[in-house]
Amino acid sequence: MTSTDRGTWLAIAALVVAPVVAAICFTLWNTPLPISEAVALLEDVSRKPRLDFLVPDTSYYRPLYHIALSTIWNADLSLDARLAAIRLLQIVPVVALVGILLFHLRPRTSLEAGAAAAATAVLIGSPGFRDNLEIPLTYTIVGMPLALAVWHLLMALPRWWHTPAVIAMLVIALGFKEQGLAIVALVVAAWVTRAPGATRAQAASTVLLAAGYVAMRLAWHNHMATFEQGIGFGFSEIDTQTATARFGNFPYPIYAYTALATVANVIFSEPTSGIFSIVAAIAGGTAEHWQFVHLGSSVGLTVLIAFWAFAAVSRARHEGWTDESRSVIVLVLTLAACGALSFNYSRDRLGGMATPFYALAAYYALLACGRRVAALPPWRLRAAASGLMLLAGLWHVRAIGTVEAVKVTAVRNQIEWLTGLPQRTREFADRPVYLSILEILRAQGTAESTPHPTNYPEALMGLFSPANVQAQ
Amino acid sequence: MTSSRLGMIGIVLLAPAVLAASAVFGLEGWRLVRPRSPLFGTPQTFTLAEAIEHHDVARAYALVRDGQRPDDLIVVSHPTLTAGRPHFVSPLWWAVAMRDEHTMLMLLGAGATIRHVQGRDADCLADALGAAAMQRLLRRYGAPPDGPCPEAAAPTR
Repeated sequence: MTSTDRGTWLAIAALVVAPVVAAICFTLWNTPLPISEAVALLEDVSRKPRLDFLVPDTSYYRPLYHIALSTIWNADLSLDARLAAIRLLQIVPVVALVGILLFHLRPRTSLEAGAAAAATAVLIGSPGFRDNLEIPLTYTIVGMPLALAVWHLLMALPRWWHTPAVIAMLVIALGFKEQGLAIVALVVAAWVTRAPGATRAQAASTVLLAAGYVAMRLAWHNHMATFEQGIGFGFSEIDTQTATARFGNFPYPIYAYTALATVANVIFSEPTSGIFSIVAAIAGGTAEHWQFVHLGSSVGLTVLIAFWAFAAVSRARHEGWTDESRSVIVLVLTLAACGALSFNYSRDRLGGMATPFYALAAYYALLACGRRVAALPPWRLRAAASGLMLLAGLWHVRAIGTVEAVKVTAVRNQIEWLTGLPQRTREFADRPVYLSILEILRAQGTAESTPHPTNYPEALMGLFSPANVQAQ
Repeated sequence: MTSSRLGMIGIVLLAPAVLAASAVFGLEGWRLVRPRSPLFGTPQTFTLAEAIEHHDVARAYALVRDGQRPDDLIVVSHPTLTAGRPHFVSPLWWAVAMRDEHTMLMLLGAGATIRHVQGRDADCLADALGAAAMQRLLRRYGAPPDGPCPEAAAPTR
């Protein structure tokens, strides 16, 4: 294998995923900032001194996010430049995440390039990625590429700067959201499996840093609500008051359910926010095509991953750990971390930190499956290859669904401006800073150039994403 | 195991990626060239009546922002509500007739009002159409008058 081969297949893999990534980024670039949350966040950063955000006196502690937003919003720049910077804060991590995944996989053959392209579709089509694309809520989407970059360094031969870089990336991810703690799981996974770039000192320092962070949060904010937001249970949503009344005395079983719901959402795309909506739709005979696509592709891939993971770990016990077998451990630990960090409410976005590692596992599972399929007799080879093509195809359909979903979000943001502005103006009449930001942002919110979802023909409309159906 | 078989499996995995990439590239390229294509949004409209009919709330907003008064009567035609003949109605009445909740809210925010006369009685129309959600919103944000609805008849010609 020559070095030219390596570059060629990497370039081919990058080329086939580029249109989807570019379409997502282009849409994000043209998406209006919404009224909900965006205006209140900008009001916060307009009123509070930047360093005040370091004080952990809130359940939603994201100091580096607020400092970054404050730096942008209070900069001596034109409105267009500031809005562009806020959008770039969302777009750059998306490009970095896909870029780091492909760079880490570095396909050298057509099989590896095909598996890498499919793994990228798994990343982009997953709910944990899709739900983290909401401008300007740039929280977990910053942590996701950092986690993958940390994993890449841990798999590489050690250099003097790797440990400081790992610590720095952990601090940045934590500063954007507590989900950054999942990075500690990576470092521990790498150390336990004797990864080339992992050391005991590195593992100990990240665990200590995490323990210090948790202690600081608990010390400052020792009275935590039993449920911060509404929870899903079975087939329905329960609001915080009802949940507290029903489960408040002994919430641990429902915490376990909620944590498992986040894990299951990453690997099965169901339940969503703790609610088994796809199962309910199928049972009720009202399921849309996309629901079959999501459930079928996730179940199919997770079964494939389970077979591969069992074989990879069995091999590791006799032959030692490899990058491939380590990715089983990192997937399990990041899933556990995401579950634990979402114990009191489950949302798709809370599985975000495990999503790149689900995609990484998908790559190795597809590769292993492809190698086995190639050794089959001709007629079985054709059948198995068709199955692989179908599975990869369904995930690419989901990736296109993500492109449509960000367009629907753009339209929803615009509609919020067109229909909710007078009401907000009345509601926040006693908050002059809020009102001034509302006025400043009105033109971008009501511009006619907002991207619209594609009006696919009737037969295709329900295939790509729930958002398309809802937008009709 | 031959490398050609592995290569074939690679092509099998790459094929859907190439197909998806081509579809997105083609669609988004077409969007740049023909942004007003029916594939990417509502057809281009020039009047408030047309914008409401096509549920194009952004266009309706732009027309109001550019000077169209939200209470000025507009000429519309509907196969059942106006028996296919042109009639003068308020934009709010037309938004309810088209069951366009977003445009209805936008018009209310822009100052559109309800009167219990033919063609301006948006709340009565919502009631007649059984559009309970729209009726609730009209009561909440539109402050409809207390009097009875006008006799059911075609709006002002």
